[in-house]
Amino acid sequence: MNPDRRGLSREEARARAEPIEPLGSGKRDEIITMFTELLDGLYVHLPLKRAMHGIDPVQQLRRLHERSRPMTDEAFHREIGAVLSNLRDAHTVYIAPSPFLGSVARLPFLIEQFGPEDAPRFLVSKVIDELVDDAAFIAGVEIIEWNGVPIAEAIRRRGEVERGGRPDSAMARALDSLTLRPLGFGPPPDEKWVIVGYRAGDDKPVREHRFEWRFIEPGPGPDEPHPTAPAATATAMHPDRALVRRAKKLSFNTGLWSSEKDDRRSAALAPRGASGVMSGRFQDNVSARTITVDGRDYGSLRLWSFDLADDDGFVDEVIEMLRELPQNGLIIDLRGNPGGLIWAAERLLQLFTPSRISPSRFSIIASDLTRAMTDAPQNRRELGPWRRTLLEAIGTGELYSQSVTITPYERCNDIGQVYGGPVVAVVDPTTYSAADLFAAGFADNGIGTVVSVGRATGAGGANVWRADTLNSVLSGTPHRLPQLPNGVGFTMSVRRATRIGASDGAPIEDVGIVGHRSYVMTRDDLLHENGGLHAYCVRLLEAEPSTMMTVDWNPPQLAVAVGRLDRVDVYVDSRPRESVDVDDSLTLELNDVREQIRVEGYRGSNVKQVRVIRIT
Amino acid sequence: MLELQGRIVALATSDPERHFIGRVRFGDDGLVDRVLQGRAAPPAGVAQVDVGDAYVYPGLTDLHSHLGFATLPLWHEESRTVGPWMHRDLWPGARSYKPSVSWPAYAYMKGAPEELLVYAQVRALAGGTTTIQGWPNANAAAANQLVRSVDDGVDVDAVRTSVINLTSAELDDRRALLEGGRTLVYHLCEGQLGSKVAREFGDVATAGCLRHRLIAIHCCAVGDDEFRQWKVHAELADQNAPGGVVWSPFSNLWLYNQTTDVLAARRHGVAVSLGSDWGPSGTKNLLGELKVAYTVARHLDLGLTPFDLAEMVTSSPGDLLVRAWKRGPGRLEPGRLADALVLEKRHPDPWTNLVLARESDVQLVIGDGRARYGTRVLIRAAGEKLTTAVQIGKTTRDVVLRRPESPTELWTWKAVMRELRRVQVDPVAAIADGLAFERTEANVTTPTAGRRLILESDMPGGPNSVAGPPPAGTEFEAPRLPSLVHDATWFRAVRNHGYHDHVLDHLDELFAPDAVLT
Repeated sequence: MNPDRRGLSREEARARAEPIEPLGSGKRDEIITMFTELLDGLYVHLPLKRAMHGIDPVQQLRRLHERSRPMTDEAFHREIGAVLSNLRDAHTVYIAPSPFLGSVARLPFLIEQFGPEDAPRFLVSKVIDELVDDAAFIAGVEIIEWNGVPIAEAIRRRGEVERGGRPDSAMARALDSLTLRPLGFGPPPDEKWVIVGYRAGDDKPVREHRFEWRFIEPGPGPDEPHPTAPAATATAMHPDRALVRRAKKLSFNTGLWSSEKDDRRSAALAPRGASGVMSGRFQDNVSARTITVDGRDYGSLRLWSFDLADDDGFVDEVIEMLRELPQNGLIIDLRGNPGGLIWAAERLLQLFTPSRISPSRFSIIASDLTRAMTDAPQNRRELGPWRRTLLEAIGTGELYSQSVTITPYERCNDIGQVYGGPVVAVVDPTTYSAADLFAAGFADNGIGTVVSVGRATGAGGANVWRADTLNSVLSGTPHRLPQLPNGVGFTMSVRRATRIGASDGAPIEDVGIVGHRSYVMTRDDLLHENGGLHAYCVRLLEAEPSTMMTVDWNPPQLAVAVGRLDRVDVYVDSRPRESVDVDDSLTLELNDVREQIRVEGYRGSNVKQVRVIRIT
Repeated sequence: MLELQGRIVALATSDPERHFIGRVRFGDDGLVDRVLQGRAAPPAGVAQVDVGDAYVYPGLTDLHSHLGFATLPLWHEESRTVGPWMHRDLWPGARSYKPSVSWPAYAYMKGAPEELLVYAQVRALAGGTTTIQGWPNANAAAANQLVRSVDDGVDVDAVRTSVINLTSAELDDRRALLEGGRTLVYHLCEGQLGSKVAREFGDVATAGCLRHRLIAIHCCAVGDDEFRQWKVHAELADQNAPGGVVWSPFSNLWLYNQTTDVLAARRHGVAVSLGSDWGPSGTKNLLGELKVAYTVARHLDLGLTPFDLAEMVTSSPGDLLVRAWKRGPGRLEPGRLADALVLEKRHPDPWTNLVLARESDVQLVIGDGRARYGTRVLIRAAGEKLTTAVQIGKTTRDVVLRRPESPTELWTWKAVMRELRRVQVDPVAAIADGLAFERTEANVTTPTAGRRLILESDMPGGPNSVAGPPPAGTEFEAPRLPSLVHDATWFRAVRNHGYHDHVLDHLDELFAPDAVLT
């Protein structure tokens, strides 16, 4: 067995850890002062969190100056962590020095939930057989007790310490944390092992087995942006969920795990194994496959994560996948997606609609710190659009800057529609950050139906910066960060996302994107690759009055084939060239095309399909 | 307790086409108490009204109206030369629309709100309607509630209506209401097939509002695919049949020369009801709309029978309202709302009799177990004494009417009409008077005796307004108050205007005394 996948015992992990540098009282004061200033002057959700949760973290920090003197280092870090944790913002996290930083404590199986929210049940969906010496403990057994506590109660208690704006999103994280604990973002498990009560069927007796925590190091994704690269300031990611996702991949998808570095270098998109799952250079972020429901084929696009730096390459790979998939309907699954690069998430939206995309907008809290930050020479290009209204806020008293897009409008519409069939998006409370933004854009731009497993998405509505990103951004301003001790870090919500379209101005943080439909997972879904969920989505896809258009450009011939469209308009270099009534196909001869051909397919007065051919 | 004895056309759930000589008894709780076969003397405490050979139907339900516009005649933009309108967003911009429709309607709403609602209700009663949708927004209930309101009758919280196109955020809100068991009555996709408004259906579908309790008015811009989608969505979300569509063939043909694909709707289980729409582009009541539906069904070869059409004004809308209210109109069976319509027997087949009925055939209308409207003989027999005579074409009927400021006193029809004519003669002054009253007298929390009603249109105001005031200083003339019945003036207007392509030119023949269905 691969030693990375096997992991280390607690003792082995501790033995390999680097020693932790002790903090002097001066360093403590620096850390407290830094967070006081950042929460007061940069943290974008402070007014919301004060109102929603009745907390005053700035005052808590001021008091900590005195209170921290008799504390041990460990207690001090725990206090700072608690102040940030009380914000219930998974984007704003204190990373304390830890011998296990970057590790994940793991039990050798995965638990998932099925059934209605008020009577949930919990099933083992995956097992690392090599690490389980109980032959009866297999995928499909139902968990009944956790260390002697009824499982639902055990999860509820975990939920009380998990960060999550809504109770259901905290519970979703609590469920994950039963078997996977990302360390550094939180403490390691207190217990060395867990005694699990389970049964193999409703009429079977409850058996018990003891499982030991082991420690694995999944490492970052293969295309994670450098902290000072432009992409790092355009990130919206749930950091500990990203680590959990990587841990799941290492533990339960060994084939993809072992090939990810090679795949990242290779350009070929290829189906893998008997399941026909298609992936390529961005296999850590996206895969696709054809699913068959009632004898008909449909497309399935799994967006695992937007944790990447190369949005152009990512979007190209998705386009390639979409062209390979059946065109009569597509399910886009974002469950468990912890977010990542906002540009990647928002630029994908255009591929599924004939309409132009409006991306989400972001605002910055108005303060001396943010004015200085946007005014710093190194930030003027990136943060310039926010600068003017932050300055005006001195006079107007506005709490926030004007809302501005992070992904430029032009970049959100630089490719246009690629997939012409009907589309649904599937989300759950672990769909987070940039994936929240994708779901918001999907709903607000009227692309299709959002199906929610659970109440809504995870509700992470902000652009998140890491400490090292902030270091660079605040450099040269009066608010530059102090030198942080080794192992200390943090992430913080800096720009607040608001929705567009009919939901214009509505926040995402602590609210999330409520699905147009909700779906309750079944036992069969967990054990048989989401069969029921797919059948549900396919019924929505099938019910939608869909249209079809394919465009083939073989200069000077433009061949257009349509289904259920009655008119095609053709623009050459942005000027109208032809408007033709059509039954099934037409061929046009187009000369003098220099830049692009835009083909619009109409049903009645409504444009249903658009394809753009760029002349390169 | 009131009992009607005659030819009972109950539209009972178990055997809707059965009709028989018998009695229907209404409880004092406003519900049908029992339905009995054969003639018999009433028991003690029950007042029986014997209607002889006449048919007793459930009261009719009109799921599409705009009562605030009931005093207006048919409207047509004379200067338009390019044929039918594409969709509903266009005609409010016509040159004559505001002076002919918006401003006069506003004048009646502001100048004579109680009188306007009486007029609109009597117009509906004259066609046998006992439940009607489309009330203007009001600060209080009208003093005379003669016809039940779909919008806030029975249960003020059960039904939400919207005339204007809702945003996706608003639709999200409506989805939550639908999931909570409420009913949404929504103007949807009004225009030519495939026109711009067709996209509204996609918005409603995406938002998850294609449900068991959705009642969609019009849907003429969409077709078979969309009704199939509604069926699938209702099955997925409610494990039940889709809701209903309200068919207003006169209004559709008048404006768009096209109408709802009712066969497609029925094919996918979407219940079809009839709605008369409003004065400017509708029939005067459901008896008129039935004849239009019959004419259009023949013209388009839809294969609809007189029974099918009868269901569209009785059991079909009634069953949709049961989904909202738990109890509803539309069938004469125990537990249903105690409404009835007595029509003279002119044809042996009760369904043909209903389709060919004229306002003069309406003998008695019962609402909530009480006589509301009818011949003086029958309404007196039903125990109502405080009634006033109303001219209905060449005949008269009596209606139960109380003075708003003194509910125990009779309010005469003449007094109502006098006020409405005052508005019609000088609408600008009526608006000024009404607004002055609203500024100085209206007090929602402590209503004073007498005049207290403030009406706002159920149509959108503001820019591109469908209803609203004229600009300050604008003089305009309100059109003459039309009659309450489908008369020669109305037939003449139909024949010479609108975009129905002559399909409705001979509607008057279906109103003739010797009319038959061919």
